[in-house]
Amino acid sequence: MKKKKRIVNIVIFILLALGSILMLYPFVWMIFTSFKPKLHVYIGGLLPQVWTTESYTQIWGEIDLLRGFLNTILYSIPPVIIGSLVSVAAAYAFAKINFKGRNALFLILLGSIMIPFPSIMVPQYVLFSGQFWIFKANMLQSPWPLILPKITGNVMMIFFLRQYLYGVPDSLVEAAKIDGCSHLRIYWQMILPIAVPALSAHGVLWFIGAWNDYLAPTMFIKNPEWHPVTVMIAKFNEQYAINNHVPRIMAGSVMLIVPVLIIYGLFQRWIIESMMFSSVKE
Amino acid sequence: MQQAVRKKVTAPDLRQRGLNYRQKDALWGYALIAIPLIGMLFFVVIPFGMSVYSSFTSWPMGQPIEKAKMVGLKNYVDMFNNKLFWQSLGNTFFYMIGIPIGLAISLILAAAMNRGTRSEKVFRVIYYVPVISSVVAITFVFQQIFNADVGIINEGLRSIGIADPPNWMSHAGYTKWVIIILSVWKGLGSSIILYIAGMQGISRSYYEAAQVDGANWWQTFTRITLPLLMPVTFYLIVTSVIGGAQMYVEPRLMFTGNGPANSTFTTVIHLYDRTFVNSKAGYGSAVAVFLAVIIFILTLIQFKVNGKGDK
Repeated sequence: MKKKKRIVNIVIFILLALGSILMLYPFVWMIFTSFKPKLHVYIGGLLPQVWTTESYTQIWGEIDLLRGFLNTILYSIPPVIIGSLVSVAAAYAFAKINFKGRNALFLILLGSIMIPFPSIMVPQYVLFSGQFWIFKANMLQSPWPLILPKITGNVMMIFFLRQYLYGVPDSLVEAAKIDGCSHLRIYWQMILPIAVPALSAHGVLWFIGAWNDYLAPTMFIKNPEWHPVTVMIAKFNEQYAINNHVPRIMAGSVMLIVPVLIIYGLFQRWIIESMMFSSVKE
Repeated sequence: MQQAVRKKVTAPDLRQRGLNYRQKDALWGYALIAIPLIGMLFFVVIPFGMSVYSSFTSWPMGQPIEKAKMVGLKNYVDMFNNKLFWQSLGNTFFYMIGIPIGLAISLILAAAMNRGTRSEKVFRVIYYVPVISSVVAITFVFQQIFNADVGIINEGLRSIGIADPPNWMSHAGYTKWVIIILSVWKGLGSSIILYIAGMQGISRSYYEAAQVDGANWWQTFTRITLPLLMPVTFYLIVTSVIGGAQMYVEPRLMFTGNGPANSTFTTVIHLYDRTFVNSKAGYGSAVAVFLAVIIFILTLIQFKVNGKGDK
């Protein structure tokens, strides 16, 4: 019986390992191809026969990737941090403060996520372009269209944290109030430290989503200086698809993907575990 | 209690003694939720109102919505009479063939990764890598992998004796499958994780009882695991359909225009091109509203069924 189980384990291990090759092959191919000379792409197997970094130097010389990365960081780190702080505050209010219309307002907020982005993207574009009613500021030449919608918080995060904060005893908050703590102080010194472990997986996934975002930046950012890396690389690839310079396209893709892979590599255990934890909760 | 408070504190009172404790609390409550509510108003409610309104007008892109001419239901009639619209909808739904395929594969993989072995945590991490990777980069790699002449897929097919493998990127019968394979591959990781979480939520006692009754592995899996995972499966189906209905980036970057013989473009691509390329924003809004209605119905079904499951 025990021996049979060991054999089953080994067979499953081999199958999962083969599956892993399928999952990772595109990345491996991408990385090795980016170091090949143009004419060697499809000869000599997976590994380059001649290693060259010319594709990378060419990209860095041709497009302002440094600026692109700074833009992407600007769109993905500060807005997600501010948006998370705003979400925790709102979740605290929804879970622990009594006020009239609390549940109704929460349901309205929750209802708003039923409206898909494609159904509102054109009017959003019009609002950001300053062509509607009292909204006269043209933001299409600035980074704001990718920042403003994030810093007002994330409804899914509010929803999740509200559930989570229900698990914190009211008496703790009451005791703090009796001791003369203001709501801001309770939020900052008590709720936030409790909430950070719970929201960090959401936060990292939100950050990765913002990093990888393509549709919103192509629509809302009309000034090439403010383009994030995704849009820069996609535009660059459009150019090089014509003369089929595959290593350059792959070099662009590698640079797009590697920072996220590093962050994922650092936090992987914890992302997977909190994903599992939060899905059980829901 | 609240009424008593309201009676006691009248306007002059407030000026004399300031707000009482409860009202101060409530004010803090409103202040803390104000930013998300304002965000929702500006980025969801007003834009959606604009979409609904402009779907009844002949609004051309680039002109103020307020001045657009009302045309009644014309955009909706045009939409339902437009062959391209139906084609885009057909493509969008065809892509959803990938959903049951992906769920079946991830269920099997989840079962294989939930046996308490040491290596399975590593596998969970590996299978999740495509989920967090940029679609932009992935589509460019898949373009090369599925290249008809030199791509690895066709190399492989030739090596097992298929002399004339499919022209993945340019034959309308195959193009959709490239997108489907990409979506299944990219989505496996997250459904595996949700299934594993679901499996770990199933009480041990069921399995012990099955063991006592002498059930084999297959019986245990189909009679206990599968039915008890129904809520997870249902959640995954609905969220994937909602996500699938909004498919845009993959077919847009992988193929040019609407794809070979209109085979790859989706409803959102149709919406985008009508609005920004043909500047028929009124028509685009009708498509946008149609999409919102479909997704709204799906979400309601999800809430209803899940609500029932809880009771």
